[in-house]
Amino acid sequence: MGRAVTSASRSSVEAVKVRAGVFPVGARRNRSIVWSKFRRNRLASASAVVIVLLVLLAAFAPWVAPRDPLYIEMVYKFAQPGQAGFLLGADEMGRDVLSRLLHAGRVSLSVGLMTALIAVLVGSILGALAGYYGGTLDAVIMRLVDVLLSMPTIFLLLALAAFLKPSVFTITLIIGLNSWMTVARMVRGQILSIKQQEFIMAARAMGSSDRRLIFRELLPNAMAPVLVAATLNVATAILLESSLSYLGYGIQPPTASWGNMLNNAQTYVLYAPWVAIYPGIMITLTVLSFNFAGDGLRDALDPRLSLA
Amino acid sequence: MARYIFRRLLQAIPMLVGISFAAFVLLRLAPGGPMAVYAQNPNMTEADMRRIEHILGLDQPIHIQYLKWAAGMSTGNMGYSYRTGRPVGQIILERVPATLQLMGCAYLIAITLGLTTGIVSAIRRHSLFDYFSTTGAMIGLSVPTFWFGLMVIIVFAGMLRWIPSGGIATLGAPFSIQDRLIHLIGPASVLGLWMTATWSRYTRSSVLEVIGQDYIRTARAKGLQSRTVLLRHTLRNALIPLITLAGLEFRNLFGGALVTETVFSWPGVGRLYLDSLNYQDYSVILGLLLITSVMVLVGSLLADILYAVVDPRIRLR
Repeated sequence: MGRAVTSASRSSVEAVKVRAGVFPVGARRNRSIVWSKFRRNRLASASAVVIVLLVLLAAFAPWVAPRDPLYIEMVYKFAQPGQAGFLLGADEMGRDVLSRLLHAGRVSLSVGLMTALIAVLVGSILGALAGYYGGTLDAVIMRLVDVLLSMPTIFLLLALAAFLKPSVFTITLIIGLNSWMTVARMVRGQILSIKQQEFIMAARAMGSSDRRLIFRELLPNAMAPVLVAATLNVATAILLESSLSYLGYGIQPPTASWGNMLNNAQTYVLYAPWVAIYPGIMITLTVLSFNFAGDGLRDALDPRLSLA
Repeated sequence: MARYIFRRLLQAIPMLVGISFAAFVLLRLAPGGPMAVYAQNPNMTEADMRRIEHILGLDQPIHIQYLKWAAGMSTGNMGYSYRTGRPVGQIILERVPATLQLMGCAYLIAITLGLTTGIVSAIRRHSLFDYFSTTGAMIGLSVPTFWFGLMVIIVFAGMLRWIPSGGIATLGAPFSIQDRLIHLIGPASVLGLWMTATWSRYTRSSVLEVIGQDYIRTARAKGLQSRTVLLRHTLRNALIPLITLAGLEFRNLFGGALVTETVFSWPGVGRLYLDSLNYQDYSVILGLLLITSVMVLVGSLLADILYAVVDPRIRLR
């Protein structure tokens, strides 16, 4: 309605038509084509490997980490990398940076993954309802999307985080509840176009209920771009969590997250740079991997959607 | 055209109401609400609290409170700071120039660098330059701004001593343009380079999409110089969708500015927001949340109108 249709959404709508026409829904052939295309993309598969490694390292952090990440030994304050058995040095309280990095990975990765899950669940359901029923429900949901998309994310998140008792759970929740909007827009667009297709008419003619139509027929066929969005969402969520934690409103010490390890970095960054360097490298590596994987997934699912 | 602008303005009104109501309710949901600050004072009796609540109008239903507040807002009265008692509008206005400087420079960097790399990347697709610039853009999107800022401080302020490690001017020194500029370089480049990544990616994909169109092939086929095809046919069409990006980027720009301002101790709106959160200065928080959201809204409105001016297909729809 008077709004410029972006090229991305236009081509994704076309893409669905193409896909639905060429491949039978959910066919095994389709999936193996996607998989082989993804594997041929070297950057994307390397990223997938990195992600698996990072997840494993985080999962087994207590066994891999050389020391207790919370153990304070002021004697070793700002021990340099390699000194006294601190492979990556020690922080302002003499805690082992490497062990903290590994444990922080658990927090940062789980916040990222859970947030993406929330965004996909909420976004898919609201987007599907808006697209399927239209009318007032559609208008209400989409205006809510518009309103949330007009508020600067970090400002809104900070306000919410300041009022809630910050914990891994609440931080995940507020980031998740601020990330579903793009998914909702996307799913709505997909549903609108799939709704017109013959197999939906056929299902309806056979007497399918609304619920069955939405969850069994429409949503599964709209999932391809959602999968891509979810992957990219993990990247964004990890960045948001780290920013919040850096600003002091995210994960609270002593629990380590990659963001809050940089919390006081300003004060000592000039004489103990290693404390600030490594957490940032971990964030960049993780976010980069999810971004590359997401891009690769998009190319594999549909080359026409490709940005690259 | 006038009708299109009118329609878009009309659509923006419910948005404005929605945003302000959301922001208002959000801050009323804060634990203890606006009274939390007063409740911290041990000399306050229950009766005092009730009286203040009544004076501030907090004992009225929330929609009445909202309407009164909105009426005040529309006359430019944004309330008073809980901390200092000064008018919120005045407090915010003091911080705006610093943020505008930062954002303006960052935007300039992002648009020049982003457009150039994006266009060259698209024209020389699959070249070494393309490879480096797309990878670089992806890295730019993945690096946390605050960490990038810290690295800039380590290298350029700590090791090379080219720039100061923060602040807007040398303390105690008399005002000089040179001093201001040298303080601006760090934060503006960090924020600007971060945005460049997005601009470069969008420009590249937009140019690539146009290059694939039939009319470009036609233009080439009829023997036009490649320079003419590029400037008159490709870029003219490819750069139009970027107007939308310019509008959309406002939202991220504020977030990026907040983080950058914190890293470089830049006394702008973002820092004010964080400070107000630390002091639970709700009226300033509310004012800032609203102003930034309204600016995002205005940004996308302007982008839509500008788009319609450049591309008649939009307004005819």
